[in-house]
Amino acid sequence: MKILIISISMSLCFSQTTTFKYQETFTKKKLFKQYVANTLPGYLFFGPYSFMYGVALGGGAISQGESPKNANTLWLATPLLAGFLVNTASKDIIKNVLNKPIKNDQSSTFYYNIYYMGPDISNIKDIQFESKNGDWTAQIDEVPSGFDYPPLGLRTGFVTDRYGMDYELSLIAHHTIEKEVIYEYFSPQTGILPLAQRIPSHFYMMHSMFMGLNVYYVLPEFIVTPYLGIGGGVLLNSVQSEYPGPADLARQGETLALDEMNWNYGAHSYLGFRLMMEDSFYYVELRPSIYKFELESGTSFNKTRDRFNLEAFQFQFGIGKSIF
Amino acid sequence: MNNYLTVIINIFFISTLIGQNYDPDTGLITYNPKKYISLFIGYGTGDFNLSAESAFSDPQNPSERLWKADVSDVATTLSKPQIVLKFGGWKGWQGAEMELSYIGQKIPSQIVYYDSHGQIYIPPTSEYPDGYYYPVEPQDSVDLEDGFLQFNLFSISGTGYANMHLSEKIKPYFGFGFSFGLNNVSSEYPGPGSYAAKNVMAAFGYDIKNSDKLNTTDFGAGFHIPFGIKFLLHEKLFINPEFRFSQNFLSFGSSDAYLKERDKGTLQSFHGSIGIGIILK
Repeated sequence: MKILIISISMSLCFSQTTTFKYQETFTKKKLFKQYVANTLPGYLFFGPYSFMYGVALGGGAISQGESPKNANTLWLATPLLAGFLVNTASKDIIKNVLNKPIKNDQSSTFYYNIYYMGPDISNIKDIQFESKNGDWTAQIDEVPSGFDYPPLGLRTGFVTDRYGMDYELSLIAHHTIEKEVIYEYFSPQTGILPLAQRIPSHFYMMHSMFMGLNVYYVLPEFIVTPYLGIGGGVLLNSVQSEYPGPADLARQGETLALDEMNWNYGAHSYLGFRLMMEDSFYYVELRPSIYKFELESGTSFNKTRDRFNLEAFQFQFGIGKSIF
Repeated sequence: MNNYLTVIINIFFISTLIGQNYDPDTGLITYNPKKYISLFIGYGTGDFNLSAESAFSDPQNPSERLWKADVSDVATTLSKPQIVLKFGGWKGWQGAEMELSYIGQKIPSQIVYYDSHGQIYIPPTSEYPDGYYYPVEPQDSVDLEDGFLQFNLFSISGTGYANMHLSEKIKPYFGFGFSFGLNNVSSEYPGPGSYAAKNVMAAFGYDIKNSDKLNTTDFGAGFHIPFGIKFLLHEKLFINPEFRFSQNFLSFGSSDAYLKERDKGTLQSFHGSIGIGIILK
């Protein structure tokens, strides 16, 4: 008992802090680095993890006979909830970082967080199928695609008078639209053979998590601040379908016949316009993007390796807030 | 010719001196930089050159497309007035602008020549259970209806120009710019290739009216060469007649099923427009 009382009394002494007359001050640049170091790992770890969990939940919903839209809702809600939880859990740490005294900083660099929505016009192009046993190949020129929910994302970075840079995490979902497509089938036995196939809506449900970097050049200001940039990063792609694959359209009622996930990459360029306020800004960006997909689909003889590009023209609308 | 060139060069260099301003505080000769916003409305005419090819390979030569067709010098007219919003500025003889523009053009009624080669795949019928490859030949009288193709081009562009300070109030300029934007192409028909093949395909039971109408939006690029004059009405306001030659490069997919095609076109136009601008500072 005595030891316990002594320990408690001593711990009270240890927990006391000395107030220094001269507190250490930090530059915004240094604090921004600390901010990124404290926030990014959480998003990079829990983001893909929750994305995968959301994909599994969405797939499970399809298996239970839910509509693709409901499955997409479940998919989207999961990483958004995880993002909210990561944000809440790291709030105190962030507060401690941002509450540190800042040196009289004359730099015009603006450090920001952006939250955005990016509806787009998209097509799936250059679709190539290659039979796993090498007996045949097929290709489709183009399939139109749409979305149930527009891409959502967050960006954290900085902008100076002339250039800017940010990292971006976004959730992207597209699906094929009902369409009669022609496969150009080729095998040594048949030669080239055009084959018609009507594919239903949501034949492919494509979900991606994009994690990448953007750099941009700031153009002269005219009421709004225009800028031009490029970006790229890795994609965690999921492709799901109620059908085994494009070469195998025997629907497996209320089951998820195709559920593939793998890594790939995406890239984009953009032109944006920012309306700057004191501590925030609104912006719109026009963004041509390309997302690469690769997966295995089908069953037995129809098992194929599929490759395609999702090409989109995104209209990104967002709000940016100063970190400090 | 050399004399004309010498005169133009002299005017250009003299004009740059007129734009200079003497600063009594520093004793230096400086330029007067200006920033402005201007809005233009215009009218023009143009032509369209199209190269179309099948989305499918030739079975005898898989590296080649099943068919190809070229149509040249198809006249186009404006379906709606051209609208341009410019944000720009000049400093001495150098000027730069960023602009947002809309151009609506259409192909009016005319007869054109299709230089087409290759084969069209006819899907299996009772007569041809394995399908049939029908040879395609050049067609010298394809009758295009009014508005056969409608072009709606939304562009963002950047232009650099040489600003000649001919006088304090009159400032001619010429420049060069690149544009990038969204091109919407629509038609009452599925596409240029299937329209040309409609008569051939009709013999095999194809009715073009049953196909989806073309309405596609893709991104594209272009360039333009503007030249015009800014007349400064007073310190904050100017009017700006301008002529411009422009080329827009379009790429889109059209037609459906076995007639699916890839189209590439160049829309060339010459516009005259009038703008009003406000000098910001």
